[in-house]
Amino acid sequence: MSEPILQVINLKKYFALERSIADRLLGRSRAYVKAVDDVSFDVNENEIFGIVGESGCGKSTLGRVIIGLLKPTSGRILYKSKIFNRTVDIASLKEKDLRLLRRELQIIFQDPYSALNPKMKIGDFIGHPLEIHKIATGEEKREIVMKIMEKVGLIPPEEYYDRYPRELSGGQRQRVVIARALILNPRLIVADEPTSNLDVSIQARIIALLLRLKDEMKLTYVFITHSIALAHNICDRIAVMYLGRIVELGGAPSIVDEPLHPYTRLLMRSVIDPDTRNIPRVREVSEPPSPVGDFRGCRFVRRCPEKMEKCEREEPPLVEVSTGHYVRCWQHVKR
Amino acid sequence: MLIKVILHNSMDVKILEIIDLEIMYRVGRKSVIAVRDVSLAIEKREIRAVVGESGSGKSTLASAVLRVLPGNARIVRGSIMFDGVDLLKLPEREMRRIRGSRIGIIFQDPSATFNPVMRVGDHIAELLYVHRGTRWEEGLKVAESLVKRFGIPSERVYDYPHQLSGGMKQRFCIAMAIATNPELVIADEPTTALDVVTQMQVLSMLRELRDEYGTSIMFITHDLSLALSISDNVTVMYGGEIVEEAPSDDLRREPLHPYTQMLLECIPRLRQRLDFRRFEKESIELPSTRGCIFSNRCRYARERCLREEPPLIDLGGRRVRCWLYE
Ligand SMILES: Nc1ncnc2c1ncn2[C@@H]1O[C@H](COP(=O)(O)OP(=O)(O)OP(=O)(O)O)[C@@H](O)[C@H]1O
Ligand SMILES: Nc1ncnc2c1ncn2[C@@H]1O[C@H](COP(=O)(O)OP(=O)(O)OP(=O)(O)O)[C@@H](O)[C@H]1O
Ligand SMILES: [Mg+2]
Ligand SMILES: [Mg+2]
Repeated sequence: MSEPILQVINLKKYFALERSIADRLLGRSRAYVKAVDDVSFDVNENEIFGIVGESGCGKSTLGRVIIGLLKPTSGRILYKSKIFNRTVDIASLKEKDLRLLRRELQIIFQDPYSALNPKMKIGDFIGHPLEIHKIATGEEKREIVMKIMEKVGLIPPEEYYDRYPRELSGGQRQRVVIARALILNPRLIVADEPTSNLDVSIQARIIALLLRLKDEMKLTYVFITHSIALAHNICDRIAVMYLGRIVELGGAPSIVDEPLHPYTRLLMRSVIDPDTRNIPRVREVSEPPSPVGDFRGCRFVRRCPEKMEKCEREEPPLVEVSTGHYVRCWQHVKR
Repeated sequence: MLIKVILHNSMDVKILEIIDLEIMYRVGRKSVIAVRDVSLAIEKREIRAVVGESGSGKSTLASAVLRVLPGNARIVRGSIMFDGVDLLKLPEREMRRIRGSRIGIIFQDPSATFNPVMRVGDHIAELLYVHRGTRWEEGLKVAESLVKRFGIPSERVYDYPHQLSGGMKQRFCIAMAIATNPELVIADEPTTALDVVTQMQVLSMLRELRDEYGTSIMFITHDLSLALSISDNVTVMYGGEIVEEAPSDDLRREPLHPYTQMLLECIPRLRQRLDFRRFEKESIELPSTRGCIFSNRCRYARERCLREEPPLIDLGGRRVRCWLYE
């Protein structure tokens, strides 16, 4: 097999919490949010690598760190770059080189409201990277932008080109964000919940579009979603995250057919089935997880219905249970 | 005044009745119709889902009820009766007493709800201070216990908005919306930014709110599975119009409008993998401006559909806007 396009190695991203005056006077040390805590995985060229997990588990932070938008606390992000014609470590790259790399690495943000510039016409917003990277201006830029707008379903483009973000609904704005991410012909795209604002009939078409672009442009996606059902439908492999850690990783079919981690099973149970009535009963949620501070034992222990005594004391390692299927749970560690 | 309110409560089962509403936006020199021919009634204790694609006018409808439409919007016609009073005729001063107090709001975009320089808990304290005269310190305590019900550690009410993940922010918004114990809660995509686990929690919270306090809920979403699971009745919108309305169970069993059928078909399920590529060729055009609004995406469109707009046909207990059911 060829070398992966991306190798994430022992990646950490901690955020320091504000210390109150009382904390300082009492000499309490700074508390950290361990948003991403020692995460390692590979992404193969032209695959769709899914990251699934609940709100606040660190998906967006991980996505931002791996394309160099945020500096990691520690760890390496080895990326096989075309522009540099070698493998570079995004974690230690200089700002100037990172800017160059931006052409290859793009992100589609979760929140289209904060991603857009409210004072910029959306056509100019989509085409802005073309100007920054001195690829096209004026009429030529307009033409490239119109094409990409058509591709993402902003049809007819001339009707939308001169609009401002506030004149679009949420879903239309998300398409603008997708268009901008595509305009520089990137190689790797972190898609951070790119369809969570769209209805399923449009989601299906956007996904179809992303799949076609993946084939045509040889793209690789890191696809972040809270929907394990969606991830199952489109991803080659899935990593399940919990409180900054990967707790399960494997091929999409094996994750869904044989979920090994109690948390993965919880995620699957809570998928709403459109074909039957009612909201699934989820009991595990009573204890809210907090990513602040130090952990002992398994991070899921407070919500785990299958916990053992050992789980409180010691964190299980990530072990390979079958080929390519990893889980971090004592139930699967052979003595 | 008090007597009048009680009378209304006992006589009228509808908490909200929207009648023949039409809303336009001015964009440059042009006008776009965002909501047209919309009539719908929500009963007391009812959970009504309003489901529709992006741009179908759901948020516009919600903003109209709350009277927070942007400056370039114009209500062309219609009325919005809340507990027997036409909100569109109310002076702003009285509307302010209803908004955020008798009608709770949960917006689609949680970050827009927060003032970045205020701690999140202060937002709840302020609301309780303004509408209930609650002391600030007490309000913060209420905030602590409220957010705990939504799975957030209580000490996080002292955090600033930017320190929270999208999901946490949204749960704060929900806590805020129900802090004043309103009669109607308008929730515009309240769980869009949430993972499935938190989503379940929020849905059960909203259900409980209805079961315990009889609160009516207008639940706006683009997610049909979600709509079906939480609501008693579903209103499906497309291109600013209501295309179908039915009890949730009927809609699940037998969707009538071709658009509703398409939605049910595109939902990703755990059981089988959907072949997304087959949707690529299908149109994602804007709603048609001639004939039936769905005609340019409809698999069953006939000549008449392209020419003539169907009315919302009453089938007894449910409504559908499609010539197939004439
Ligand atoms: N700039 C920051 N300062 C402090 N804490 C932060 C910052 N950004 C994120 N966090 C914290 O890091 C954790 C992970 O946040 P992140 O946004 O990555 O989660 P997520 O999995 O994307 O969640 P969601 O599904 O809600 O988008 C959260 O606890 C969040 O509060
Ligand atoms: N401030 C505005 N100025 C001009 N047009 C607007 C404005 N806000 C909304 N529109 C237009 O009105 C229509 C309805 O928008 P609305 O936001 O109500 O839809 P929605 O159903 O809430 O969509 P979404 O699911 O994306 O939030 C859309 O065509 C939109 O472009
Ligand atoms: Mg996120
Ligand atoms: Mg909306």
